[in-house]
Amino acid sequence: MSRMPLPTERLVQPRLVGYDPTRPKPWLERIAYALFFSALWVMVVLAYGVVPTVFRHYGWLKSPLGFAAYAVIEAVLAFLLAAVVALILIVVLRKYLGKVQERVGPMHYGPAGVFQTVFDALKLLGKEDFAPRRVDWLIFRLAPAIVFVSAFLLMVAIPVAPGWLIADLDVGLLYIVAVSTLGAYGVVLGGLSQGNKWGLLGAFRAGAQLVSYEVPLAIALLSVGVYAGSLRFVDIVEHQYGLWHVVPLFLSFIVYLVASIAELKATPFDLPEAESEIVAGYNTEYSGMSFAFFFLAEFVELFLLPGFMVLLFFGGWHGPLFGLDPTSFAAGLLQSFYFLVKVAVWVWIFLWIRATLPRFRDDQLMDLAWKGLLPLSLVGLLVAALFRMFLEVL
Amino acid sequence: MSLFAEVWDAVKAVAAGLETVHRRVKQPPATEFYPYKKPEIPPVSVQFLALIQNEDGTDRCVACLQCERVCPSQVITIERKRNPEGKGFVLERFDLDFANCMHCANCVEACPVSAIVTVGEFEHAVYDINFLKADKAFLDHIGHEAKIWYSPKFGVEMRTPEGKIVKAPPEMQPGGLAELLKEAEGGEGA
Ligand code: SF4
Ligand code: SF4
Repeated sequence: MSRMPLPTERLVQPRLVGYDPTRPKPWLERIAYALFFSALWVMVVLAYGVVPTVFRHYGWLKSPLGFAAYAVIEAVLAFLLAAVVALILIVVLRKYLGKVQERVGPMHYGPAGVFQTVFDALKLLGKEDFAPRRVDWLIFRLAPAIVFVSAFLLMVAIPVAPGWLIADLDVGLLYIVAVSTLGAYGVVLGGLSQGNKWGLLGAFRAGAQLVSYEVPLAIALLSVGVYAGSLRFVDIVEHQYGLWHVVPLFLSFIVYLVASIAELKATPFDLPEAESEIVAGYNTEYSGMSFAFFFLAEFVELFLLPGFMVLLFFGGWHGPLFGLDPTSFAAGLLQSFYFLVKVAVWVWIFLWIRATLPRFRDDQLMDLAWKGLLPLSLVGLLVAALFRMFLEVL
Repeated sequence: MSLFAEVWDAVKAVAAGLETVHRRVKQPPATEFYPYKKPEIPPVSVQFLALIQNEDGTDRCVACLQCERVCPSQVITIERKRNPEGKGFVLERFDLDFANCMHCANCVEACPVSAIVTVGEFEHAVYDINFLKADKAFLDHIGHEAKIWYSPKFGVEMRTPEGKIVKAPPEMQPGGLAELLKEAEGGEGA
């Protein structure tokens, strides 16, 4: 007669790689996050500081070949930056939500699970990118690209320190309104093309939500433009010496905050991908890398929208310079650091809001957008114009 | 004016929510690291059944067949013979088929000498269902490994580090016995 094996004789003994729950090491976690932040900083310095400065300094941008090389290098660097941002933010989000919900979050890979996203990305790379038979193939394949490209193009417009920017756009505000609206196309087309009822519902919701939140968002941006007297980000940031825009333009700031959370499709406004209602909404049928691109775009936007908020309302790269020449490279390093810290704080607040609020209902969402935010943003515009008038008179 | 009051209420509610969430961040996680760290579960829960042996290594079981008779799933098989040295019976075979056991603990309740008991050990899962047929050696082993076990007749008992079997203190007994005793003492004092 076969004997029942004792628990100590079992063939498979559970083993935990990388984390010993009996001895949690919060300091290791903190070091890992500090390294993450430094990696992000290095990528930002490379993409926004070193490469453009070198190309401008040697005048290579004037020759067509130099310009082509610049474009290619910047595209690669920006893609790497986007990947780093997404890798970091995903694990930070999961860890933070875990802590809020009194769980541990990812814990198996790396110290306290901080390399979890790397393995997730490898898994997504290795998966089959499957398209069901009834999808509209071309649009189904194009939609993730549109979503990602629209998030990716936004990175071009961000200045992280004086003179540290990829492209100095005279109409930066208009540019980000135009490009971020493109992302809504990707979401709607992706939802419609997959021939799935959940995708269709997600696309409907996304269309309604994104279109209605673009309007207050654009008006909030416009009020900043009116107050600063320019649509260039550099001018807007320069205009905030002395007083950050958040004080005079508080109404516009609130509108921007709410509208950008809606733009992110984050939790109080995550109707397009409400997991508990419509599976995954607009990305139900996506798998493998197509899905990863939707994800990547979402987290790049989670970095960029607080970034724009910092630029527009919180003085961008302003911070104590300790007597450094503001145009020197060292000052640039310091200023990009200030910018990133401010962005990190705002990303944390976004995650905090996301962890707190429950999901809106469809009609409440529309109520808030059209009856709440739109009038509020118009009042904000009026306030901005009045302040500008006083500024001109004084 | 009511609009502003409404907005103010909403702001207050959101702020209260944010504050609660932030307080939660600092609390330790409630996660059980189960496969890596075994939780201590109370012996009163019916998981494994075990046969307890006396301190001198003899069986507590007197082979009275009460458990075999009462078992609703009829998974206990006992073979016994007359004790050659004295009165009573000795066990020859005690098999318990955990694959069909419904963990009702009727056997534990029926046992007149608290030989078959419930223990805190719970890792039943095996790859082959035949492995779930436990024999006397296995049940004895589980009983020897157990630090603490329960039977309705004797309550929670525990094995001291020296190998003595003693009754557990009232705090470890089920049913709020400690509180009851405390109340009784308080009543006497007053
Ligand atoms: S627990 Fe119930 S089913 Fe299992 S052996 Fe005891 S009496 Fe039989
Ligand atoms: S009831 Fe108790 S003493 Fe009687 S046979 Fe079963 S285990 Fe042994």
